[in-house]
Amino acid sequence: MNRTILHVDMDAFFAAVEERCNPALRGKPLAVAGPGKRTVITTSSYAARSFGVRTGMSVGQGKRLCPDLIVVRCDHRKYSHASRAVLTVLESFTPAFEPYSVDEAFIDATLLQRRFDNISNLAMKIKGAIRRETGLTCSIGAAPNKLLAKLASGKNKPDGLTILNPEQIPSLLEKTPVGELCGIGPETTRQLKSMGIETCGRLGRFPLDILSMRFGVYGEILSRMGRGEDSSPIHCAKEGETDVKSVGHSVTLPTDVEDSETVTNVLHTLSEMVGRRARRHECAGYRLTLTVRYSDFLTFSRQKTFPAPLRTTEQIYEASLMINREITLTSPVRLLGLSLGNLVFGFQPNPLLPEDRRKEALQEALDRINDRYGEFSLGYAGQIHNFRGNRIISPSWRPKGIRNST
Amino acid sequence: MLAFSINRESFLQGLSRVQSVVERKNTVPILSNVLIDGNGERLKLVATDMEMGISGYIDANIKSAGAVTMSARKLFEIIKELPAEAEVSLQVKEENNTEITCGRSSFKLKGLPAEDFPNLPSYDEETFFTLDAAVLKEMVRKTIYAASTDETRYNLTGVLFEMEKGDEGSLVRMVATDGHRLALIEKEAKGNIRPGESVVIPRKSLNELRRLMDEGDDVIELDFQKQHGVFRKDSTVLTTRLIDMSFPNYQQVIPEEVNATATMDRDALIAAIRRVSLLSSERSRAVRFSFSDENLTVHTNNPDLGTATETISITYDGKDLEVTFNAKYMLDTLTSLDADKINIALKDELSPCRVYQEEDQDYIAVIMPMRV
Repeated sequence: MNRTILHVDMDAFFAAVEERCNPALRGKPLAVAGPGKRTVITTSSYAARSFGVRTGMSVGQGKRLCPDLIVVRCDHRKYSHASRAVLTVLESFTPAFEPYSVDEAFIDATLLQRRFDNISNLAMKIKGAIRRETGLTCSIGAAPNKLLAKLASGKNKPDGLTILNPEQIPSLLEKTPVGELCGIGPETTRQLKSMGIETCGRLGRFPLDILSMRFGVYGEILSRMGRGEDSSPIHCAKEGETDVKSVGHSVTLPTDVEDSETVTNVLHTLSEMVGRRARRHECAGYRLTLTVRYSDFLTFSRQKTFPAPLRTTEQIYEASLMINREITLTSPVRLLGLSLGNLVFGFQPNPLLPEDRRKEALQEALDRINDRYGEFSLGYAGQIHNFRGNRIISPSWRPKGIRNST
Repeated sequence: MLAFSINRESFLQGLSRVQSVVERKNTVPILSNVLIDGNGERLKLVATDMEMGISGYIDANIKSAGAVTMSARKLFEIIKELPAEAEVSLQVKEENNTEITCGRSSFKLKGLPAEDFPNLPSYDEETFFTLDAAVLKEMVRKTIYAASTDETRYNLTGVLFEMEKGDEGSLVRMVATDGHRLALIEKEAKGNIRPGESVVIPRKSLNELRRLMDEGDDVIELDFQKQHGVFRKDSTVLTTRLIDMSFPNYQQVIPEEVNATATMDRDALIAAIRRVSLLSSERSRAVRFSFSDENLTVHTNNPDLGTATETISITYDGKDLEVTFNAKYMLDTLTSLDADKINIALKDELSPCRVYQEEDQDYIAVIMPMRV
């Protein structure tokens, strides 16, 4: 059966939430910026966008383009709260949805659309419910797969609805620049351009052997993306779990760091985030991968396989330190990531040594307290400045999903 | 400068003995080298990776005294390819370059100065005590498999070596655990041991000691100092760094309460586990044991592959029990035993179980069941 996937993308999410909280800001050029010293604009309202203010610009640049720009400091608790409200609305329609980031989600509408006569009716109902429940607008794209649904949702923003019928797809892709596809970043775009490939149409027709030579296994994926093909499933909270190959997290640090103390400190927080998700899903992993991105975006990872599966925060942290010891950092670090692989599901430890049993009991107690009082209510003292103000932990983070996302 | 000639067989034997100690990672170049020291009557070969070191003597016709270091692996490979029983000549030239000649073959191997080679820890002739090599070999064999290979559990990557005054003389005890299973063995010591001493010896070093003891049963001389241990057999000396972390309290782990005991043929159980575990999950290696009157059923169920079942006859005293074990742990233990009949003592599904043989109660193997 042909699938129908919806991509729900909130419009200028952070700015819209701020406007909702302070109606005086409504319609004014507004930018939400990070808390740190090297502040860049995370989101700008549509009024600000009309002046050319874009995500990623510095506040100074933004003000030069739009002298009346109002800059609001980002408050992730607000966005996190609004994000949950949106997901609750989606959940009222179907359990078959996948939160993709703090302001995006995919919905499998293959069967669902029948209940609403057609896809357009369903999409309008979702948009209406989100607006009613949260006061926020979103744009929806509908297409036969996730790749195209995401492409479609961006076509008609804000408050848009774009439905891609199978017969429209080839002509649309023919002139769509490759960089508009989710998953083709600036680096790949640059490489493709050097091969004379600028549009999806050309990418899809390009000889596969040349793509494979240049990009390895990714070449085939690129080729399929060029033709608008994507068979990746919707990872909804309950069904997708056992298909998961890894549990991971990465964080872009508020400032680039060079000292190893900060690096190990962040690894500890990541270990807690990765471990907590793994434990929620009763899985443990034999392999740990540490990813490092330098300030110049050079990215590499190192992994190690362990004789017993890692599960507790302490086990993951110790393992990450061990991998970290074998790396000599040569540049300031921009991003750190940890990922647990070679997973075993349904894993429950039964340690032999009393000291290990005590550690398991402590971990369980910590988890139970955090289940009840919220994430990071209780944690390691050395981590406290990472919890406050959510500088390290992204607002979209919750241990419920097991997806490998950042 | 060093010059000598030597029989190919004895050179090869001497080189192969030090080969496995040579540092493989090649972080410090000289650690990939073997030190050849011809300043005494016999030729001394030394290798170290800074964690452990080995030195041994071989007979050679030393024409000119001196010392040099060169790639242990390349030298070994060269000597190995030379014809049997041939006479090999080595001559150190300028800048530690060494000429190796044998019949019509000649090699020039680059070397590094002997002065740069690290010294092995020194030892005192006076403080050695002795143990029967056959006994020590058995103790190592029955414990080393249970030591951890997980570097994040550093104190478990070694084997505890304890000496005690027992009721009827002296006692040596070795204990290893990786947090999932434990092996403990006690033996009477005939030598002049040092009661009260307790050290943790790295697993890797014990593997090396095993190789040393494979060369014939004799006595082993031992000495433990603050940071390192020394093992000597004939003229070969193995030194090792000791693990300076506390070992877990193993006594708490040895099960006391037993509610069921099964006795069975060891070979039959090994064969059954090997067959059934072919279908167990590669990661967890889980195999379920169902104990009942007269029968033990070994079973695995792998959703990706299928199921396997085998039943063997046992004598069993206790109520029916289903316990899941890691097949590898059970096989390691069973193959470390040597009797025809073995016993499995259980308390319940999740408590540590003990595997032992009637005639060797000084050897205790404990395996923790898996929680499924």
